Amino acid sequence: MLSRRFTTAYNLAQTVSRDAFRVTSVKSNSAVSTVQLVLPSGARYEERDELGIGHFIRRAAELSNGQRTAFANARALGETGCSFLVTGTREHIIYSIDSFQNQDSIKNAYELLLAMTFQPLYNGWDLAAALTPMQLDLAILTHRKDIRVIELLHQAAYKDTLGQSVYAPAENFSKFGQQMALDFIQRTFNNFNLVCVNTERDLEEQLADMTSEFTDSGDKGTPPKKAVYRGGTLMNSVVGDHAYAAVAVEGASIGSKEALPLGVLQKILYREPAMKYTSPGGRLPSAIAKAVNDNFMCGNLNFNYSDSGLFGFSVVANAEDAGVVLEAAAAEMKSLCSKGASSEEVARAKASLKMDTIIKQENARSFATMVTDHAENNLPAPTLQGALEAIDKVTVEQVNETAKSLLKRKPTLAAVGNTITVPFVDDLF
Amino acid sequence: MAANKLMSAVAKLAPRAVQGGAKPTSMIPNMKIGTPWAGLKTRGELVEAGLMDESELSEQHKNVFNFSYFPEVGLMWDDLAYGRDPTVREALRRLPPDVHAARMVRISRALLLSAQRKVLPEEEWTTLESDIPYMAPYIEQVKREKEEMKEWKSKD
Repeated sequence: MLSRRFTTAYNLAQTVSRDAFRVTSVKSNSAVSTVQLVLPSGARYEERDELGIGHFIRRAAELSNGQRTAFANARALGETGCSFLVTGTREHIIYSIDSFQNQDSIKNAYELLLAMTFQPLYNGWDLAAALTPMQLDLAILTHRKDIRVIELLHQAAYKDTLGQSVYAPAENFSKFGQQMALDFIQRTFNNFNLVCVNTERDLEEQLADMTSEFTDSGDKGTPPKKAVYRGGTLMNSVVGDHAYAAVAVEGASIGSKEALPLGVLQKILYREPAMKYTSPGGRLPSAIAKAVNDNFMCGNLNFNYSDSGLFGFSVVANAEDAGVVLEAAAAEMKSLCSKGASSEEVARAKASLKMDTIIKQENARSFATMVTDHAENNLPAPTLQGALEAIDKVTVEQVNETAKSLLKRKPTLAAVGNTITVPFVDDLF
Repeated sequence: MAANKLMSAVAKLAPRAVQGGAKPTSMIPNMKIGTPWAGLKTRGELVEAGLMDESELSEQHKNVFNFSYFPEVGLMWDDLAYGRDPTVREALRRLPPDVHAARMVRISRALLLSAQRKVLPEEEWTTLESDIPYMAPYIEQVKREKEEMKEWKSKD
């Protein structure tokens, strides 16, 4: 039941190109304004000898920069009333500020943001202040096998470029320092996007002018390495009771014509429970339940990047059952891909996908990410109506055709935990 | 015979301290005081360049260097800064590694010479012009940060 709010049409994004960066702005119904600097400096652009430098840069963003010391920066940011966040993905590093639609506070916070992004100092005596939170991140990661299995899946699928993790390997900590970080920034902080959500037009002009003062005219730099999908098996054996496994084939890149059919297929495989304490929907849970008596969890995976993607499923099971669970899930996926889905399944999956889209654009930050993805890949700006209509247009034939093509693709498997019964991917399919 | 050889060898290695006019025979490699770090200027050069006041080369300053012991063992004025003061301690923490290493070498050399009751040859003594005020920028920075923190805290 969609409330009236969600069906209003959105303003189309206005894109202004400047020398070194692109300004994209959208409006949404959210009460929060977000301004994001989306820099193409994600994990995939790190060289082999500087793996993890993005993690260091994210954690060092709040340290002393050319304009202010860390202390003054923190206090000034607090005074503006905006919240600040640095996020890193495989493709981007995103510096963002959120505010409650107060234009002055956004402008003040943006000035701080520019200094943090483009004039960092990475002083030698501040290194510990950046490395300690990184150690905490890695420590938390030892308990998050679900994140680790996804990182391992990407590593198995791509090895370099998209396979590089957003978390720094512990052995590289001693390498991180001022020179490496500044070199990385020089190389990659070009041709970025300034994404404004729910800001006024003249504020956007001012923000763009402020940004021009901090960056010189766009050095196009070397074109990025294309992500090559390789496939294979990688397992990380850890003492414990459970196995976390993920299986995927190469999926759709952002904007490819397979993207929407695969989104629908993702929801045919598995739909999250709509209410607490209800069972999930989709083919995987029932298929696995037939094969195994004990508890398990499963999920769908659909990652879209600018030139590649991953599509598949993930499972969590007891160590003894993991092999059976994976075989049942793989058999179900194979059967879905070869025999296709029925029209009711497709209709239900489309409804679920539409709901996901609506929920995602409610959050100004994830909406801004969507906007950036579109802008970077030269797609027309996302509007809610357009997205819902595009999902409606997906036909059953398209879905089944795409599913059939998945059978020919080389699969990848990654497993973390007690992997004694996890089969290799060649034995699985 | 063997004892004589040993004694002469020892005598060669450890010359007794002499008054002015001795040859530079110090065992420790002669660290030129202006290097190895780049960019740091001596007090004389700084005053010439206008970055430091003329008063830094005044008579009073000169007397300190002429009548003190520390130049004779190769120390600079900033080497005397000890970490009791929190500002100085923070500035010491911020020294770049090569500056810090050179400081430690000079201090070790001075301690050794002091234990042996020796001084460096006069050509190697620190002078007012050859002294390098390497702590100044860091002490300034730390002082500024402390003031800033006080200013912010007074607003609370």
